Amino acid sequence: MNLSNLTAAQGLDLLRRKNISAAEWTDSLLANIGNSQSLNAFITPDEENARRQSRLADAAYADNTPRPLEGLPVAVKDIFCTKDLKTTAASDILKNFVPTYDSTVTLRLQRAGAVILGKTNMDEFAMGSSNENSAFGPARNPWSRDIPLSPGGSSGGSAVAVAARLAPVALGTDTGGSVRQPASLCGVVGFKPTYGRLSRFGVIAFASSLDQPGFIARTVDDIAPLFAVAAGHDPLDSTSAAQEVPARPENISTLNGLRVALPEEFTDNAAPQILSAYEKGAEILRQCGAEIIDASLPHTDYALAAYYIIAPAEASANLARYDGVRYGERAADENASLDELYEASRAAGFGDEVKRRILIGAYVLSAGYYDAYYNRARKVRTLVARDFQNVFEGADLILAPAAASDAFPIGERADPTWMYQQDIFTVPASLAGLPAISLPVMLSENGLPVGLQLIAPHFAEARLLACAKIFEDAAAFTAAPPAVDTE
Amino acid sequence: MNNITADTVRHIAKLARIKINDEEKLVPELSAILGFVGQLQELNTDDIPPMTTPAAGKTPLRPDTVAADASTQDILRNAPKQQDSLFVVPKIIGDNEPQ
Repeated sequence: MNLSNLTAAQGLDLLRRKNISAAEWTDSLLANIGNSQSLNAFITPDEENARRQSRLADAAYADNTPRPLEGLPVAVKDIFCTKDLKTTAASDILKNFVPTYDSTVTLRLQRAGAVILGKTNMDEFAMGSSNENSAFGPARNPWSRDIPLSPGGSSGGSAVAVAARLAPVALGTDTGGSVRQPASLCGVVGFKPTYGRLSRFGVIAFASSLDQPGFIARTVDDIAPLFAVAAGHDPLDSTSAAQEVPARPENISTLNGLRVALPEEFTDNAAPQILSAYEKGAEILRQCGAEIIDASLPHTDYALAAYYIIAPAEASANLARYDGVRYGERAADENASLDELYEASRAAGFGDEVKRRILIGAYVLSAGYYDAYYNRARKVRTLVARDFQNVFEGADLILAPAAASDAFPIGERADPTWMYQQDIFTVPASLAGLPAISLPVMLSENGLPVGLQLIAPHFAEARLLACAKIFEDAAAFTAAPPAVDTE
Repeated sequence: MNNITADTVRHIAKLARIKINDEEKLVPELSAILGFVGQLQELNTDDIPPMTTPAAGKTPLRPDTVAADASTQDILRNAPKQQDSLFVVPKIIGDNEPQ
């Protein structure tokens, strides 16, 4: 048995029954990471510490004192601060940054026994939908055959790691789709909880009213144990929700009586290959007993424009902290003035897309444009959120595409607004702060995975995960990337 | 509304404290982005309240108590230049320059 193929649930079960050791599970994944460097999934693997932690996990099993995630190997997006382990946000400006504290989410996972394998590649500061904006080069989609394909982004390295069997599960963050879209392009499951469910403390900030940690896994079953451990109020994050965290998904075996809305705007916007997956998804849900309801989210077309004002505005404020003084790289000669020091350090440290977003953010917040752009975008955000409220008055869940296309070649698109369109199906739920999960449903004509997402009302994760599990079983997506040996 | 010029780009780059020398490339890029997001001008948003956060849950305040936080050593660990437990920056007040 090749242990790297184990899902989190399978591996934890085998560990509890002492059929495998945590050390051999972690070692098999570290071997795969070493053999898969062409995928560029990791910025900083952490072999030594992972080996040590996995052996401590085995000691806990030997003592019969294992914690809930004891010995579970986890890959972590390089945007979560990890104490004494370099954390770069895939930016040159943080290329040597070593945090002195842990993010709440990684700390909770480690305290539950999880073993961190290393830090995964991403778009710089999570700004991007292709992983091409990484200062360390793009991660490569393991579904690539002849030409290198993008894994999507921004949590591209985490999606690659899970799809290519370099980790059973990975942490990502989702601001406008950065967990769900790469999961779709890599044929794995991506889960973004309700805004506020998982603490943002220690997560390098991009757009604070949108950022939300999430999980990538190969099965829905693997999400719940991570969510149960990581979610819940954190006094260190003022937007962290105090709502009680459900211990497990709802116990249901069919979708009988469940009302699933299909907003017409998503059908109108979907490319043919995405539309056929969308129709197939609706049919699967119907066969599982769900009632499919026509619905409308009339401001969908404006959600993307609102997002690409709000997110850069918040980013321009959040990234003001990179000043070349307190942490991060400094690039200025000895005679530079303070302003020259700021300007040179930020010019040298930020990549092109990050600079564009900071400039757009500064523009939409500047005198004379604040009302026309930023304030108007915040009003449109209200309209988008109201659209969802209206649909959820007559529906339990919403079915939507997860990505605008299947995986596209690396280096093909230089036009920023083309890339922004990749987020068209994921951004609306982000603006409204709703939980959503993307699942692989089928292969496209290109032989590449296509995912769909289920979107739920605020804090309805227990129902969302239960329904997603039934949908996943019925969709029966079992394909694996070509280079992966699933035996 | 979204006709931005090289002067505009220099102005916002100054606001954002980023040195730029490729204004000519940035003008069309930023114009395209502003054109794209400018479609919001089509919507009537009168009487719609702006949304600042999607937080739907209870977000209680923590007690305001004194607690040990990061040490000086921790805070300085990633400083690009430091001396005597201080961040080193260029001289801010000039010798003869009135500010």
